[in-house]
Amino acid sequence: MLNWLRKPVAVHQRVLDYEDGHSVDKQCLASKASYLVLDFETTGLDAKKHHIVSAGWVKISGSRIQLHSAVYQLVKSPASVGQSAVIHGLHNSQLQQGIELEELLSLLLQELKGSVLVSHHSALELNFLKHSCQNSFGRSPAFKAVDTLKLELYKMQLKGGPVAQNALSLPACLARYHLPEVTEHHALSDAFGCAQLLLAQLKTRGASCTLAELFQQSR
Amino acid sequence: MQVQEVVSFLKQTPPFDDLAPHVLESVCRDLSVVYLASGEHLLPEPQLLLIRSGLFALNTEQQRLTHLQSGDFYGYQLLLTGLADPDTILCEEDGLVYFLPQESFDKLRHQYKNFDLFFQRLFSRRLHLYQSNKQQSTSTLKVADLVTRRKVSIACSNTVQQAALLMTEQRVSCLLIEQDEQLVGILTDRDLRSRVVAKSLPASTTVSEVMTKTPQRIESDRFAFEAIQQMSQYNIHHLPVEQDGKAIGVLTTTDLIRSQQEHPVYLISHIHRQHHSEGLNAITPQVQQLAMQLAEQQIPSYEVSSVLTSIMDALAQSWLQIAEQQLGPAPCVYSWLGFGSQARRDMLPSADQDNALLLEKEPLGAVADYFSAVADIVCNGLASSGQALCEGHIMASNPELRLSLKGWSNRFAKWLHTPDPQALLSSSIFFDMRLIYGSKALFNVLQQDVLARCKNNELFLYQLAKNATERQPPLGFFKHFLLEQDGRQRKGLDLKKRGISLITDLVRVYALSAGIHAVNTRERLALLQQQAVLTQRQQQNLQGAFDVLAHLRWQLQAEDLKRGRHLSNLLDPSQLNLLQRHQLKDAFAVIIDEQQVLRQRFCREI
Repeated sequence: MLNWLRKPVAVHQRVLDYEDGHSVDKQCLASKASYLVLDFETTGLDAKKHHIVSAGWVKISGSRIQLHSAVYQLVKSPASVGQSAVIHGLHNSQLQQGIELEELLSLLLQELKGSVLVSHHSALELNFLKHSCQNSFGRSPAFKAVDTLKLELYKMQLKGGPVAQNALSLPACLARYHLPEVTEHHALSDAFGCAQLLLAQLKTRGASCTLAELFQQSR
Repeated sequence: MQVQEVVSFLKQTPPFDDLAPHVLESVCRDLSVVYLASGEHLLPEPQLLLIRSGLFALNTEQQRLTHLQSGDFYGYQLLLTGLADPDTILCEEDGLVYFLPQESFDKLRHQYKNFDLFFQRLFSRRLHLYQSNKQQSTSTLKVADLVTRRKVSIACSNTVQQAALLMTEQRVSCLLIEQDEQLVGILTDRDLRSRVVAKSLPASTTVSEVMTKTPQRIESDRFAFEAIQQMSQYNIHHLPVEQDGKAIGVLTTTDLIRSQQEHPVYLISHIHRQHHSEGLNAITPQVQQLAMQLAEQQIPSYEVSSVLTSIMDALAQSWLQIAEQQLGPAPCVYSWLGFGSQARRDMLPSADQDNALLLEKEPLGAVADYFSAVADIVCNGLASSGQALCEGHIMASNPELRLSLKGWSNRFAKWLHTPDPQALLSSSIFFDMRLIYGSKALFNVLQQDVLARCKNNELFLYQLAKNATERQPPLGFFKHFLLEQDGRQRKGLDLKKRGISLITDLVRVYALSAGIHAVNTRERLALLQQQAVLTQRQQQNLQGAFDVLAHLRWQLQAEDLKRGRHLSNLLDPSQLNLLQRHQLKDAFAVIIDEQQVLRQRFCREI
């Protein structure tokens, strides 16, 4: 019953632990780095108003997607999922089976140590991460991510010519590399699709490409 | 929770498709996924590789072996033997590869026999002998599914009156007779009528005096179609069913008919009951319906062909009886012969007529006229029943094929002693012959004569073997399928001309060289192995390949029937699932190997 009293101290430690243990060498070759590819399904686009309903992630090391690292979690939502259920297909009753947001964040921070965060259109994941950490832990670490959408945009702009609407959606990107389709709007499937996309994108960047370049192109 | 995309891919990839969902999830957990760009090499490591997408060339010392594509495996060779191949794998189109570590691979092999078998077969290129669990456990009805588990029995010391009372009381048409819990006989309604009442035996007669002793019986775990065969073979309507050596009930023809209105038993007896041509004309739709049903039940294709052949035999027999009714008794003993697929009991719905008449007397004068009329009635009759006339005129309606024993003997002698390749090619169909109706003795004399002439006739066997190996299976040098066009401009693999026929041709050479009477390809193979003409491995390989091809052809024609299309032998390989593709390639590879063996054995320069 008195758990809430201990909360600020205990959880703050999570953030400190993360900041303490997390380090990524920017000069590391992109093909040798470790990644955690993340996808959230949310009740909307605004991190201040909306909530995370599910999270999926999978890790890459040695340029291989390691399926044993695949995680999929439903998150107890403090409010109704409302109309967003139409997109992610998750309903309030299912989400009651989920874990607390705080638990999810602890798990994620733990897993993220030493890995580069990756997602497709990473602004959404970063915003939700930052807000959720602030709400749960009182403060958020500074997250940085490689964005497969931006990497794709960078390549397209190099080639010149207009970028068609929708050309940067995950399904469109996967199709461009002849990668198998994934179930859209399922957090783990999307994360897996995004991971495959990253592997393909790394191939087009040559063996000497470093993490620094990926971060540069993700801006 | 695992990535659904990966799970569902495994779910449709043999041998993973046989694993339970929770096992698949854990397999999935063990995988890692790699992306390769074209021009990159895949380096060997002790893992099982499963191609998810893209195209990969497998090369060995500068030579292209094959292409690997979605669903193909590599690396099992190293995992199974510990020996690394000097192969290299070059990515030709960007793609994804799944890697399964040795540990997980070994665990699956230990736990799942079929999984192990799949890779053993794949390794020995004998995948055509592999059957997925699903195939084995399909909806084929078992005897146990049909039999009413109600045992009504009586001891043999009881009187027939007591037996009759029990039958009336229990409302059954058949009693099981038991002694010490062992089945020793059966007694039917009909037995009481014909063996007791008709013979004026007293009601005090004991059951043991009139029962059928040591009756035919069947185990409950056998297939329903096996029961049907047994019942039609022995012409019985009641078949006791046993389980662990104890009787549990009786299977009756009514049980079978109830289960399938169009069943062969029903249809064959229906055909035999027809004494007028109208009844037989209407039979085609039923035959086709039956063919489709059998095909859908996943009964082994040789069984389906055998059932269909029995029906076609019954049709010919009925038409011959009608002809005799119309024309009066025959002026001499004769045999109605079937050739080719009918002789081999290998028929398909699309089979046309191949028949002939063997006569005791020379076909002159009245004898000639009578059999000419018989042949017209039967051949046209069969055509009206749905069996197409033979385009090559290999039919009894052709006067060249209504010969006396001497005439036939001379005909065969001509083919045998001056083996002109072209003439032999068109006559090879005659070397598979079977008696359909008429005199068995007459037929036996001819068959003995032909077999005696074939055996040790090196020049003839040389030519026959040469013809048998002239055409090759449609498998290219890189183990890819070679497509060809049919008359209707469709592209595909001709399963008959470049598959099944190649095996029957090949087996025929061996059978004739060894003087084997059997004409059915499976029977020939079994006998050839018994007589040590073929090794067990050869026999298994050829039979496996034959079964794979025959099964695919049945599926193809069943689909054509269902859609009301022209029946075809041309398979579009893109319609195959992965297992079928592997199996078909292996079946073709077996034929290529065996053609070479045949050439070495019979085609050395004489």
